[in-house]
Amino acid sequence: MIKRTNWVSALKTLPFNELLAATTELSSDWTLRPKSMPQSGLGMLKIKESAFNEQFYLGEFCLSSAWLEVTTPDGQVAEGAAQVMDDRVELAEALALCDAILSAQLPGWEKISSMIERGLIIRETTHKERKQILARTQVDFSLLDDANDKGNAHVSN
Amino acid sequence: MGYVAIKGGGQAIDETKKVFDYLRTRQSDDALPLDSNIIENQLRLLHSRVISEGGVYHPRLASIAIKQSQGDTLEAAFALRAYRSTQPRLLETPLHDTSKMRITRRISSAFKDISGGQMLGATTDYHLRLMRMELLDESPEKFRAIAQQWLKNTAIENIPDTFPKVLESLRAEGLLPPIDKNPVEQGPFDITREPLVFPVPRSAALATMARGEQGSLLAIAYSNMRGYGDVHPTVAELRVGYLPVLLPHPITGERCEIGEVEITECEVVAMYEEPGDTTPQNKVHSNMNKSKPTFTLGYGACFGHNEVKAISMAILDRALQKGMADGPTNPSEDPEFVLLHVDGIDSMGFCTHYKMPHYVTFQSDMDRLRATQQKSNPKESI
Amino acid sequence: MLVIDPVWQADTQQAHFRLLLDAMAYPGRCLIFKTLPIDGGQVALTVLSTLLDAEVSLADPHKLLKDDDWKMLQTNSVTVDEADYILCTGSQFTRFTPKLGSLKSPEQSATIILVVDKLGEGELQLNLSGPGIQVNQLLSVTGLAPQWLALREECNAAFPLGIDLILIDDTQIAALPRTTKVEIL
Repeated sequence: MIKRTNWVSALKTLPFNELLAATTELSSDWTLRPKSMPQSGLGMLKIKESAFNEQFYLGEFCLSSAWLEVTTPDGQVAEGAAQVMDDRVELAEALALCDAILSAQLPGWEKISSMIERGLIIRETTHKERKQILARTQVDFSLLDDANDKGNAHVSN
Repeated sequence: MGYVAIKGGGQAIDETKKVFDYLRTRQSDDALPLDSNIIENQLRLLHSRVISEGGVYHPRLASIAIKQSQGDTLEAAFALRAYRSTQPRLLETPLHDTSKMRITRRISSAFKDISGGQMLGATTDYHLRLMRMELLDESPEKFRAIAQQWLKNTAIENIPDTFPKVLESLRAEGLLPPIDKNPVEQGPFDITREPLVFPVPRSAALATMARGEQGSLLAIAYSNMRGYGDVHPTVAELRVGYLPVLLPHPITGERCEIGEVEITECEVVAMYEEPGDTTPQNKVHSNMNKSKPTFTLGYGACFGHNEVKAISMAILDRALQKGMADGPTNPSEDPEFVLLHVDGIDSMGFCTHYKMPHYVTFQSDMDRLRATQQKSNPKESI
Repeated sequence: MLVIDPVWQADTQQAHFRLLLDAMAYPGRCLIFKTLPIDGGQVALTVLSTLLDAEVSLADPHKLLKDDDWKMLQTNSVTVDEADYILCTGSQFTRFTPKLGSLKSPEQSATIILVVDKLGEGELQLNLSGPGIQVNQLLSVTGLAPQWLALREECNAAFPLGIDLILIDDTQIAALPRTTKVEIL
């Protein structure tokens, strides 16, 4: 089972409409109650600068959060919560629902699980692309000594 | 009479909005509106700049801001800043460490061989500044082929996930002021909550410059580079990449990745200082390291991919440290001069306000001048 | 999709905020609020949900709120001497020293919300005068320990420093800002 701490980052790679459709369908006859008001606003990013390890605020980012309690018709009760870097509170609610469904294995959890798998593959592709950028432009200083310089770092079109 | 002038402007003002949009849309009959994805991808660095100066990491809105302002970076940053002011602050993140960045570019001018290697990434540093005329007539097919072509050669090496900071190796050699292991626990200064009342702590300077207007930061940093100052920097490390933002899960408390922000980060090593030199950090640590001079450091970081801004900010950070400790001898070392003049929204706002009617003010200026002229030359009264 | 109690919704909170402004502007007047929290929730949530957010703080020394309430309020839980807002049962007096503000910032002081049994009825009769009151305003209360008024006197002795009070029963609110003179009849 994929770690719960990765569910949000995997699911948010999928199209929002798909996520919303899946969660709406699965929860159509459930009762949903907020444990904390779903809301949309800003988070402030605090980072440690590397010269003196002092803290400062780099800037704000859009943030939505939701925390729900889910009750199914046959009495199963589960809690789910999610925070996401997005301004759509509906996305946070959908992700919180996914969190509840998967953590409590509510009916339909397999669908959410497979969506997460797909999301992880998309994330892997992005990470791979970034490593390709690094690999292709990595400087090999030993080639500088080579008289017949065979085009080391930059690739021309 | 003054009121009539202002009232009569109402309709003209309405029309300005319409004519602004007319200029945006009056291309040929088969013209298409700009897609915000096009702005985010093909105008990537402009997009980065607006996110950075707007002060809020919201890629989608930054694209809209650029589109609606027709490319005016100051207006676009202003729109983003205005949006930000309507949003509630939900939380502050736990402390993030930029060594966790997912790097897309990493270089050092101080060292040739750094742990993990130098990776140039997508830089314009080596471009010939020749016009690529073929871009005038780029077909969609040719355009798509470029990305597909590049992705085909997917030679993936053993690239690690994260890279250590170059500064750490200098620190290990004792060439840098040691880190204060027990710093005074004071939260960083929040410039979105408190006005700058000088003297301000370094965290206020860093936050102000992080969303500062690129040209202003560059100009003042350049003045220091050219001799109105004494930084003489070497870039220890410049990195560009994506920092995962982690928040504790509301139920389990474990750190979850909720998204990423692209950032550019630069550390510069500047002239070394003798102990007993009055830089605050050296002052603190000269007690720990009685006889050793050490390098001084500057740090710059901002949202988006913006190297000129990060380097300028690092130079100014060092200059301001010196100015705050010893008193400024140049404008770039003076916190009041630098920090009050680098914010793009503040500066463009004030500049722009001069276009507003100042009829009454000016009327009294004219009256005063006429009176003065009359007093000095009573025969030549106008 | 989500069932949200009206007391947490923006339009209800705006109506309650308006009511609070009127209560402060016309001290001693009992004003009926729009909606109660359902499921027998703490009546003070009508006022708390309107006033509180993550930028301010609340102390609940009488433990009137449940954990779930705190989660919904999304505010900071602090001690009584640090709190911007303090929630107490009116019939039960507890001695403490709330924030009184400073000369430069008298508004950085505590607002005490007292849950009483009944406003407009009761043995405790208060004669109010001062800003917002034409001549006199009579306010009767059931379930307010008179020591709260003595504490209020003490706190407000160095006006403009001081505290403000909001009284709430199960359908109404009334306010006693620090500018009001209170005489117990």
